[in-house]
Amino acid sequence: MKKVGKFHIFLLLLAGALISVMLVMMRLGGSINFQEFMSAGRVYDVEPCELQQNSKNWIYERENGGHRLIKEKAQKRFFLDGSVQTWDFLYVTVEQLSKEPVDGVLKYYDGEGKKLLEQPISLSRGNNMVQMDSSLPIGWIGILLSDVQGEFISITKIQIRTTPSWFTPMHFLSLFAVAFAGVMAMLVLLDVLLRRLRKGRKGGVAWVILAGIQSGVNVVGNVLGERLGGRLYHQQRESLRRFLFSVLFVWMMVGNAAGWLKSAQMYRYHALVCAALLLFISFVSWERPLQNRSWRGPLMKSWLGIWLGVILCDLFVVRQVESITGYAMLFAGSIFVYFWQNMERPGRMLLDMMEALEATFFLGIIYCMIFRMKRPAVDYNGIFKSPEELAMYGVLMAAVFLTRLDWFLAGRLAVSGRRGESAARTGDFAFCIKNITGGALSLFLVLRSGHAVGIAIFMMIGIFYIPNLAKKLYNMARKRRVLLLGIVMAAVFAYACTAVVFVSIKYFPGILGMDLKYRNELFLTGLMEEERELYLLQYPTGLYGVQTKEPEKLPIIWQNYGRRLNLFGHGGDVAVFRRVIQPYNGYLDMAYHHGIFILLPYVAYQVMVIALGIRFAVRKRGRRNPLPLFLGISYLCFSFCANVEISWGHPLWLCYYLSAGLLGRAEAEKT
Amino acid sequence: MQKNNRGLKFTILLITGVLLSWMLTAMYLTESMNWSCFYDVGNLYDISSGYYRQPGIRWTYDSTAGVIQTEGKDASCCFYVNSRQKNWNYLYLTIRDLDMESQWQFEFRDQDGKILFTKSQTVQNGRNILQLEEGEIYAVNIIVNERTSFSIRRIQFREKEQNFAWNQLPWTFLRVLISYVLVVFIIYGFVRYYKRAEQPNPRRGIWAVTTQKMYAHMLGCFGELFQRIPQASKSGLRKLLFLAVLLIPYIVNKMGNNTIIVARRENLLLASCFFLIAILSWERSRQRVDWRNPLVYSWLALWLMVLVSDFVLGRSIQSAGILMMGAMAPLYMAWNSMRRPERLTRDFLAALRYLYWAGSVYCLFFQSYEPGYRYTGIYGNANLFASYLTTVNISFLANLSENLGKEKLKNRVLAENILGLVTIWGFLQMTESVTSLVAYIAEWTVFLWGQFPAEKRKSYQRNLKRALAMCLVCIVIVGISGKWCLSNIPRVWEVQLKEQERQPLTGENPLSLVAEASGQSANASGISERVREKVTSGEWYDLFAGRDEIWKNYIRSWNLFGHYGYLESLEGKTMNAHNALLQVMHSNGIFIAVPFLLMLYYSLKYSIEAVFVKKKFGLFFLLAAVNYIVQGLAESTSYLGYCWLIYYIALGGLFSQPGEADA
Repeated sequence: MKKVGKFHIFLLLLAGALISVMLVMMRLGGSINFQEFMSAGRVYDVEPCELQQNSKNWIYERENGGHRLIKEKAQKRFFLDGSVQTWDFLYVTVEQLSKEPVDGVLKYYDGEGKKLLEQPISLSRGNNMVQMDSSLPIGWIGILLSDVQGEFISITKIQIRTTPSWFTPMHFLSLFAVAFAGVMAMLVLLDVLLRRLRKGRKGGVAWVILAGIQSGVNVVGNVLGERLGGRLYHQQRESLRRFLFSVLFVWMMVGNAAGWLKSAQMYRYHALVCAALLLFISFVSWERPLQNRSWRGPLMKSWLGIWLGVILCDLFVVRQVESITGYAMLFAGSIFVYFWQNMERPGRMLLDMMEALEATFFLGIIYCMIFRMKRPAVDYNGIFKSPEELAMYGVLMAAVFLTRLDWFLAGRLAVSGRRGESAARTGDFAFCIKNITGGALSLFLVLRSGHAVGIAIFMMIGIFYIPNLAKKLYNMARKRRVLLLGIVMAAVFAYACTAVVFVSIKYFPGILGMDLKYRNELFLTGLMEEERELYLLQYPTGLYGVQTKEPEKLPIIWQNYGRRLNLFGHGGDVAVFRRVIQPYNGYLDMAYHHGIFILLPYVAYQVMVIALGIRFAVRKRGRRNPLPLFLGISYLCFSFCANVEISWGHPLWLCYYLSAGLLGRAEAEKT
Repeated sequence: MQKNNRGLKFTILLITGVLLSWMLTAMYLTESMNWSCFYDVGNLYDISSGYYRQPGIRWTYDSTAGVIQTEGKDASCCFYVNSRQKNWNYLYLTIRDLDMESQWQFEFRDQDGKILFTKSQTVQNGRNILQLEEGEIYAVNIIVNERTSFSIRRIQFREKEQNFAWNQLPWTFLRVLISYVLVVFIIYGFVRYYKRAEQPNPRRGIWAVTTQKMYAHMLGCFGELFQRIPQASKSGLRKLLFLAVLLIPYIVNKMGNNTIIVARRENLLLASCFFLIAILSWERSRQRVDWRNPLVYSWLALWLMVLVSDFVLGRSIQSAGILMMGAMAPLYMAWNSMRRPERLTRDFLAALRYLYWAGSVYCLFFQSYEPGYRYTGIYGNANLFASYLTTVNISFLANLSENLGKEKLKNRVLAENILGLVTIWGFLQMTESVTSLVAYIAEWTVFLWGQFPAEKRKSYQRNLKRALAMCLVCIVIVGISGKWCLSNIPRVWEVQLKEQERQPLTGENPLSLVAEASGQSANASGISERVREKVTSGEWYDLFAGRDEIWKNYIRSWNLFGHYGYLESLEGKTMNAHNALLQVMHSNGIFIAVPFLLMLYYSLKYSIEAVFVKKKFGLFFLLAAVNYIVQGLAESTSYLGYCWLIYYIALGGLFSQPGEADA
C-alpha cells in the first residue's frame, strides 16, 4: 500500500510536470493550440556540417571551431529546406566574434540561386534575430560580412522560421517553475477532493473492466490452451516454446532488415505474424485452468496505459504505422502476459525466451560471418540496419549471457559440498563455453558497432556484474577448482572464437562474394574531414553512402521534435535537415507519435521495471535474476539518445515490454 | 435436421462454387491474375443510357419506337464525359436498328469545348471500336450526315481493348463450375470413405458455445456496475441509450464530415452505447441461451470476414467488424439472457418512435414541402428520408400488432400508433421513393399476414374497429391540416432552413425520374405516375432508374478482400452500390456473399418462426428482415443507416434458438 502511495505521488508529479510543459509551450507559442503546443509554424535549422563548410572567403578552422574571413567582403550561402518559400525570421547564433559588431548584408536567393534582395544586418555575439521580408519566396540565403578581412567568426546555429521564437532555456525554466507550482497545487487539491468522494468505496470501473476483459480471455484461453498446451508434456511444451520464440525473434529481425517496419502496407502483416506467434506461445504455455490476476499494480497499470494510450490517439490522428503496434501489443501482448502470469513456474518461460535468444544469436553470428562484411573505419551494423540497433542487441545478449552465467555459478556454488555431488557435471564445460563465448561476442558486437551509449551501458552492466562475479569466482577458487579451471579454459576458447569472428566478418563475405547490403541501411563513420580524405586515398569508394557521426546534430533533432509536441500525436517522422529523421530519443518518439501524456505510463513503466528488477536481482528468496534489471537499465539509457522504440523489430524492445509477464506476477503476488 | 444440415452445406458449396467460378472465369477471360480486381479490363466509363435519348441538332429521339432519328446533313448530338479520368484509349459504340452502314464523324472536345481531334468511322449494327488519340476528353460530338434511324445501346470509353468476346463467358463459366463440382465430389467421396462410421461430434458448435460463454463471462463482470439500478430506471436508461444510438449516425450524416477520424469516433461512440445497453440489460437469469445455429454461424463468419477484409484494407477502429464483435454481440448475449427480452425490444421501439416524433416536429417547423419537388424531410435526400420512414414504420406496426390483441387497449397507445402510421404514409407519398414504397407495402403485407391468427378473438375485433375509426380521424386531420401546415408554417413563420442539398431538383438526380413523375405541379399524382412509367417503359434503365449501370460497375470491381469507399458510377459521381449484397461484396470481397446470404435466409426463417410461436414482438423481427431485404435490393442499406441498424439489432432477438442445436 505504501508503495502504491509512492507511485501515486510519482505519477502526480509527472503529470504536473507534463501539464506544466504543455502550458509553458502554449504560452511560448502565444496561443492555445492542442494540435501543436508551440504553434511554431515552419522552422528550418541549417545542418551543423553546412555551418562548418568553407566558402571562398570563409575558411573553417576546426581547432578554433569557427571561420576565418579572408577578404574585406566575405560571403557564405546557405541552402534552405529544399523548397522555395517565404520566411519571416532568421536567427543566427554567434559564439565567437573577433570584432563586434559586424555589419553585413543578408541576401535573398530564389530556387535557382538568382539574387532577389539585399537587406542590411548587423551581427554581434549571442543570438541575433533578423526580421526578413516575408513577401519573397526564397530557396537560399547568403550572409555577406563587410570590413572583416582576417577576422574570426564562429556561428553555431542558423535557424529560419515563420514565427518568432521566444524560447530560451531560462525563460522556459522560469515559466515552468511558476506553472508547475500552480498545476501541482491544483492537482493535489483535485486529488484530495477525489479521495474524499471515493472514500469507503473499493475498486472502481477500471477494475471491473479489467476483470471483464480477463474473464473473456479466460474462456477463450482455456478452450484454446487446453487444445494446444494441454495436450503437451512439459518438455514438449518447452521445446515448442523455445522454437516459437526463436521464430518470433528471427521474424522480427528479418522484418527490420527488410524495411517492413516503415512500410504501411507490410507492417500490418509483419505485426500480425508477430502477434500470432505470441498468441501461439501463450496457448502452448497453458498448464492449468486460467485464473484472473490482479492487474492493479503500477506496472500493469502502466503497461495497459501505454497501449491504450497508443490506440486512443487513433481517434484523433490518422496514422499508417504507429497504432498497429498498440493493437498487436494490447491484444496479443496482454494475453501473453496473462498466460505467463498464470504459469506454475514463470521462470520457465523466461528461460525458454533466453534460450531462444541464445540460439538466434549464434545463428546471427554465423549469418554475419558469411553475409555481412565489416567495412574499414565504418561502424558495423551486423544483422541490423544501423550500428545503434546492433549495440542494443549486443547489450541485450550480454545481459542474457551474464544472467545465465550468474545462475550457473550460483547453482554450482550452492551444491558444492553437498554429498553425492560430483565436482563438475557433464555439460558444465560446454555450458561455460557457450555463455562465455556468447558474452565475449556480445561485447565484440557492441564494440564493433562503435555506439558510445551502447558501450557505456555495457560497461555499466559490467560494473554491476563484475563484483558479483569476482566474489563467486573467489568462492569457486576455494571450493570448486576444477570448475574454475573449466571456466578459465572456456574464456580462452571464447577469446579464440571472438578472434575467428573478428577475422571472418572482415574478410569472409568479401572472399565469398556474398556481402549483403540492406535497403536504406545506415552506415556511420567516426572519420573527420582530414582523416576522411586520407581514408579515401586508400579506399576511393569506401565511404560511398557513409555518413559522418555528428553528435552535435542531436540537440537540433530533439528541438525539432520537441516543438511539434501535441496532445494526441502525429503520424510519421519530422523532416530535419531536408530529410526525414527519427528522433533519437525514446521519450520524444513516444510523445511525438502518441501525444505528450503517453509519457505518464511510459516513464512509470520504466521506473517500475527497474524497481521490480532490483527486487528480482537482490531477492533473498528464490533464484536471483538480474535480467529484468539489466533490461530496465539498458532500455532507460538507450531511451535518452537512441531510437529504442523499434516496435516489433528488435528483440530488446520485445523482451523489455514482455517482461511485464514476469514482473507483473511478482507485483500481483506482492499486492 | 440431418437433411437441413445437408441442404445448408449444399447451399454453401453452391454459392462458393458460383463465386469461385466467376472469379476464375473473369481472370481467364481477361488473361490476368489480379486479386484486387478479377475482371481486370482497365478503367472504363459508360455514358449513362439516360443521355442516349437527349435531343441534338437535327437529332431526335422517338420514344414510341425507341430509336433516334437524324434528319439529313450534320445531324449531331454531344455527349459529355463526366468521369474523373479524361484520358481514354478506346471508344466502344454499340448500335442497333441502324438502317444501313454509314460514315459518322466523332469530334472529341476538351474542357473549353474546342475540338481535340476528329475521327471518322463507318458505323454498323453491333459494336464499333474507335482508337482514340492522346488528350483529355470532356465530350464527344457524334455527327451523322445521312437521314437514318438507329438506337444507341452503349457508349463506352475504355483504357484497354476488350480481348475476349462475351459469348465465351457462359462456356468458360460452365467449364469452371463443372470442374469445381467434380473436385468437390472427389473430396466429398474421400471424406465419406475415411469417415464411414460417422459418429455425432460431441464438440459440434463448440466455438459458438465458447463465444457465447466468453461474452457471458465478460458481461457477468461488467454487469456488476449496474446491478443496483432498479428495473424501471434501467428501462429509461436503455431508451436513452437507444436514442443516442439512433441519433449519432444521423448527426454524423448531417455534419457531412466523412473523415476517417469522424468514422472512428462514431464507431467508438456507438460501440460504447451498445455495450452500455448490454451491461445494463444483463441479468443473471437461468434463461437458456444457445447460439448453436446457422444464423449465429453465418453472422460470426460474416463479421470475421469483415475483420479480415478491414485488416487487409488497413481500416482501424472504424471497422464494422470491431463494432459488431466487440459491442453488438455482447448486446445480443445480454438480450438473450433476459428473463423478459421483450422489455429491450419495447425500449428500442419506443426510442425509434421518439426519434420519429422529434423528426416530424422538426419537419413541420423547419422543412417545408414545395410542390414539384420530392420532400427530403430530415435528410437532404428524398430516398434516404423514405428509407428512414419505412424503417420507423416497423416500430409502429410492431407496437400496434402487439397491442391490438390486448383486452384493454389504451387510447393513448392506439392514437400514437395510428397517427404515426398515417403521418408516415403522408411523408412517404411526398418523397416519391419507389423502393421504399415497395418495402412499405411489403411491411404492411407482413403485418396483415401476422394478424390472421388473432382475427377471430373478440377483443381483437373490438380493438380493430377502434383502430379503423381512429385511422379515419387521423387521415382527415393529417390529410387536411398536415400538408397545409407542412407547406405553410415554415414559410409563414420564416423558420425554413435553407440547406443546399435539401431539395434535389426534379430530374437533376439520375436516380429519380421526378420530372416526368410529378409533372412540376402540386396536383400531380407523383408516385403512382412514377411507378407506371417505370413498369411500362420496357427499359432496364427506366425500371431501375439507372441502378443497373451502378450494379454493373460494382460487379466489374469484384475482388478478394474488398475496396475502400464507393465507386465512381453514374455521371462520374461516387455513390454506393444501391444494393446490399453488391455493397458488401464490394467492400469486403466476393466470398462474403456466402455468410451474408445465409444470414439473410436464416433471419427470415427464424423471424417467421418467431411469429408462428407467438414470440413477443415476433413481428418486429420479421418486419426488420423484410425491410432490410426489400430495401437492400435497390437502395442504400449502408453501414449504420437506420435500415441497417434496425436489422442488425433485431437479429439479436433471433440468436438464441435452443431447438436448433437439440435437433
